[in-house]
Parts: sequence; structure tokens; C-alpha cells
Amino acid sequence: MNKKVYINSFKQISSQEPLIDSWSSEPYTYNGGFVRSIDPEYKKYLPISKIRRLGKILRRALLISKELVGEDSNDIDGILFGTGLGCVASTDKILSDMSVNGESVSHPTDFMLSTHNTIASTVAIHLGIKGYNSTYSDNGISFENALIDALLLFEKGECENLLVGAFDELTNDFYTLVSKSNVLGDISTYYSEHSVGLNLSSLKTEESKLELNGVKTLYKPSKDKLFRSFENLLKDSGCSFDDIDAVIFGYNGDSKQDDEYTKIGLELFPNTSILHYKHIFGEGFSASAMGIYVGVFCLSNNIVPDILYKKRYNKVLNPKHLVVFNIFNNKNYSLTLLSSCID
Amino acid sequence: MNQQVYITGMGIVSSIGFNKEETKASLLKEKTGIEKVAYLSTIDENLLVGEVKQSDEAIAKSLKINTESQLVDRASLLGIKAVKEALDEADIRDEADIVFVSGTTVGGMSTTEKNYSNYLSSDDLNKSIMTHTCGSSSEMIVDYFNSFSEIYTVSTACSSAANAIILGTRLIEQGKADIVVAGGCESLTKFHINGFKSLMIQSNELCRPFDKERKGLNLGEGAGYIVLESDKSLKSRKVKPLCRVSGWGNACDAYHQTAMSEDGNGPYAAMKEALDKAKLSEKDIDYINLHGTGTPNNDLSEGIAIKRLFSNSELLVSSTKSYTGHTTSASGGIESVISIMSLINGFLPANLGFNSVIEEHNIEPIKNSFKTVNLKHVMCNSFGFGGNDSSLIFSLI
Repeated sequence: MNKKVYINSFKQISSQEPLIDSWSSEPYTYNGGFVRSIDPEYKKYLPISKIRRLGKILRRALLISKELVGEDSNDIDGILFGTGLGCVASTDKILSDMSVNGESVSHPTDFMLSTHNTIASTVAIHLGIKGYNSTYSDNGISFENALIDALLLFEKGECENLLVGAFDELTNDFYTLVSKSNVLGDISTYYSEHSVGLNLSSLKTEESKLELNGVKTLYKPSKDKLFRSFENLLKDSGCSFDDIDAVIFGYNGDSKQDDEYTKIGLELFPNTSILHYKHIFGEGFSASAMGIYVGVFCLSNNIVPDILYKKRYNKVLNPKHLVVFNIFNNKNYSLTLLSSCID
Repeated sequence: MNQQVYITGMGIVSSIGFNKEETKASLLKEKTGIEKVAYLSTIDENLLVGEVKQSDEAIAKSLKINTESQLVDRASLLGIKAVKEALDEADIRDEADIVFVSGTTVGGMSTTEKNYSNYLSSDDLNKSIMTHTCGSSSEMIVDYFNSFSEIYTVSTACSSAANAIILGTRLIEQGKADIVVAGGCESLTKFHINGFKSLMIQSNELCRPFDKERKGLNLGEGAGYIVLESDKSLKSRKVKPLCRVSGWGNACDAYHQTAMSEDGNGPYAAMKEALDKAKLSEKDIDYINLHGTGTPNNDLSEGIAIKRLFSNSELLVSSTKSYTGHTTSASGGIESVISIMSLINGFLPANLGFNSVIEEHNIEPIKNSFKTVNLKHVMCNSFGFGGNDSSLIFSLI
């Protein structure tokens, strides 16, 4: 029997206004290329002595976590983060220096901060969270794999509150490499950085507005396997395809991948509105987490902002069930089901 | 709901062997694989490392991989080798829908650092950027086989493979999968060799885990994977298990990015949780394969944590990093395979390089290997940067 898991708070730092959701009515618009995240003024929120040595990705993770956890971190039983490229700014700094000056270069701090788990452990150290701690690094499905791990912990009754997040930063060099190598497709939107944090809980509070029902990730699935995974995801939560109010797809302008979304939409969700978000938040290794964030926002506020519609079948007035679906590099597939729990 | 998790196959590659047989032989001969660097091109010719004694090309050739047409990074080549041995032992040929859980941190860095200075200017080279990520390291392994439909890549530094085995165990325990291959792989790179050098925890002598005079670690490389299976799958495939995973623990020391708390709170919590989950008392553990890196900090904290938790004076411990070097993310996989081989074959490796105890905890590791010994429950420790501490318990059926 599945235990219910509630998403009780959520925060983002991206190319849109950080920590708030003004993107839903007044989004910033960008024309391609690489757009960095808009960073809040960290020293307003975090003691400068503690963050001086921390790079951008760590500051973002720490601030989002602190905002989600509040003053009392004792309730948090564990941290599960996903990151595709990890602390790539520190990595890039060492690699660049090594490629110019050879191996004799010494960057102890950058090396120390360059491993992927630095993000989750920095948050653990600063907020004193000593329980379960893990980091997933699976290109475009890192966040979803962290969510799957979290759902396992909840199902087993191992915890009541978990901090789950997705964090990816990009440097100019890595942007050039990623865009030139066409890993994310021939996109028409822009490349960006994404930081998302969710507070998951098995406890329903007065603020609880939605549940995370299920997550599935697949590697190079056959069409049959993919369709069965959609069916099982819905069935496991007692939902049918007709119950889904809208699907949130990861359209990014790459024609081949976009066609796949459209085909799946037509075959599985012919009468359902299709939403998209990468035109607002850009593409990147943790962009799919932004799709889940957008779903959480919609259910939490009981609204689907107009700018999200890709195909409007009906105007969705009171969304109850949303499916978030993303494809990364034609290989990594992720499916997430979110449901409102507002009575 | 809590299903048993069985182990039906194992594969291992490290500086002391290309498979289980060679590994066991080296351990019993007390022969270290740590030598002067020979395959990685680095400025320090005298650097002592636990290298896998073959070039990328030779490993690829043995796997019938054409490196001209297919990009496969060294870490993934080592991974493929070990996964193949594990699948063969488990007699898995045509099964589909197997889950792959792999630990890595360095990922495809060996390719990245080779190409980095020319990456931006060369359109041919920049395609290979996708070998860089940890996730791609797993994908390159999975692409060699036709059996895997789901991938999880765990990246918790030196405890990555242990946490991969923990996730695999939980997927089976909770009925989410029937067969999981879990472990980790890592290759030596200039990037992390120089990183560890800058942190001044690398020794220029052979490492001496748990010795009073220890000076630091030697890095190593390799891969270790195990096949985890549900009872249902054992029955339908009519295969016999080797042993089972009986407990696991994962905790965060939450103390410092690269140092461990003095009283070993993280390691203590991880080992305690593993015992509790296995429903075992500390007296039931016959042997601990230590994280035992040979750094002043790790061996002090780990020892203190063990002393706090275990009262058993018969408890046997050793670190096999004195053979393989510290294989970082792969260590939890490599050392799990060594622990399981010890458990089911009844032998125990000596802790090379040990002379005198660390006075703060007075723990004396195994000085001479045991050729025959009866074991029921063994523990395997893996601790990582950032305080990512994990512990596993393997038990006879």
C-alpha cells in the first residue's frame, strides 16, 4: 500500500525572479544562448562568513534549503539531491588551469567543492541534518531519481520529512561544449541553470495542497514499455487517463524530440491540454525539475497560468491531476504524477 | 513487504586482478597491487597507485569494443568488465528489465582531461563531452548489454558504490525490482590525483591503514558489482544464491567537507543503523572490511566509532586498500565483493603495512591472512567526503 507523500513547500532559483513566482504572470523573456540564473542577494539571507568560499551552486542550494526548512532543521530526516553536471564551476576552474599550466596547479578548495555530493553535504553541514543523505547524477533525470529514492524511504516508513532538490549550474565553457555537441538537441529556447527544492512530508498539514503520487524513470524505452509505464503510474494511484487535467511536456524546440512529445500527447492524452515551461525557464540538465516545480505551483495555487499552454483543449480551472513528462538526449525519460489534495 | 535480498553474482576488477579468482589469489598471497604509476600519464613518475594493469585499448579489445567507432571511457570499460563477470556468474543472459545502479564521481573525467584544452576548438572532440558526466558513465556500461531498462547513478564521493548497493537492496526489499546490478567504477585521473595531492592526504609510501605511523592514502581504480535478486526471481530462474544483504546504514557526519568528526559520529550512525536493520547484535559481526584509507583522520575516526559500537574482542577487521589502493567511488563495490568472497569462501585478507596500533582506539587489524575461517556475518564500511557514510552487512543464508 502506498503511503501518501505531500509537497508542503517549494522554492526555485532560475532565469526568472528568484524565490517567488512572478514568472507566472510577468516572465522575463530571453532570446536563445546561455542565460545564467538570477541570484538573490545571498548576504541578505545567509551569514557572509559562512558562504564566502561557496560557489554559486552551493549558495543556491543552501539558500533554497534554508528557506524550505526554516529555523528548525531537526524535523528533516534526510537530504536527496540530483545534479547532472555537479559543481561544474569548480571542476571547470581546475580543468582550465590544468590545460594551461599543467598538473602542478593546486586548487584544494575547488577540488574539495568539486564532487557532486558537495551540494547535499554542504546543506547537511550548514543545517545540521545528519540523517540519510544521497546524490543522484543521471544527466536529465537526476532529480526524478532522487524523488524515487525519497518515495521508497516514505513507503518504508523510514522518515517523515525529506529535503529533495535539483541543482545545476553552467559555465561559459561547458555551455559551449553542451550546445556544440547538441546533447540537448537543436533547441530553440535558451540554455540555463536551474535550482529547485521541495519539502516532502508524510504528514498532512493545513498547508498541504498536493501529493507526489509517483515517479518513474526509463532508459531508452521501447514505445510499448513507455506506454505501459504511463498506465502503471496512473493505475498505481487509482487514476485513469481521463482523470488527468493537463500534461506538462518538456518541449524545447528540437524538432525531433518535440515531435515525440506531440505524438505521445495525441496517442495517450488526446483530449488533454498540454503545458510547457522550457520557453520560460530554458533547457538544462536540471530543467525537468522545473517542469515538476511548475506542476507543483499549479496544484498549489489551483491555477494554470495562460503562458503555460502549448495546446489548449480546455481551460483548466481546478487542476486535480497533472502528469509531468520529460525526454533528455533521446535517452532518459521521466514521468511524474502530481495530485491536488485540497478537499 | 520486507523481502529478502539475495546475491547471485559478483564481478571485480582492480590492481590485484581482472576477476574474482585473481583477486582472491592476490589477497591470499598478501600481494599488493600498488606500484609506480605506469598507465596514466602524469608528471610524478614515482607516484604509487593501484592501477588496473592494462591500457584502455587492451581492456576494450578483451571486451570486443571498437574504440575507433565507439566512445567508452576507461571507468566504463572497467565497469563493463566487472558487470559482465557478475552477470555471467548469476547466469543472466537474456533477461530484460534489469535495473542498473552504479556509483561514480570521477565519471568520464579521464576522457575530459585528455581533451579539455582542445575541446572548444575542435568540433570532432566536443561530441565526447557527453562521456564526462556521471550519468553517461553508467549509460556507456548499460549500452554494452541488452538487459537494462532503468539506471540510477549515485554520486556520494567515496561511498558512491556502497550507496548504489543500498538503493539496489531497497528496490528489491520493497518489491520494485526483481534483479538489480549494483556497485561502482572509477578510473584514475590527473584531476583527482592532483586534487588529493593538494589536500595533502596522499602518501608517497605504501599506505598503512590503521597503523600508528600511517601517512596517507594511495589512490586506485577499478570496478566491483554484485547481482541482487528477489526470492521470486531465484525461484523462477532456478538459481541458488551466494549469500544475502542483511543490513545497511546511511548517515551524514555533517561535520566538515573533507574531514571526519573526531568521535566518528557519522560512521557510528551508519554501522549502528546497519546492525539494527539486520536485526543483529554487535556480537554477531565476525569481520569488518574497513574503509581504512590510511589517512590520519579516517583511521582514527573509524576506529573510535568501531570501539564505541563493538565490544566483541574477537572481532576481526582489515582494510584491503593496502592491496587495491583507495578506489574512491568504486571502493564500496570492490570491497563488498571482497567481503562476500571472504564470507562464502571462508578466508580473510591481512591488513598490509600494519605495525603498531593507534593508541586512541587500540584496534589491531588482521596481521596474517586466514586461509580458512568460519564467518556468518560480515560488515563493509564506506565513508566519503562531505560525511556521506555508509555501511553494509552481508550474511550467509
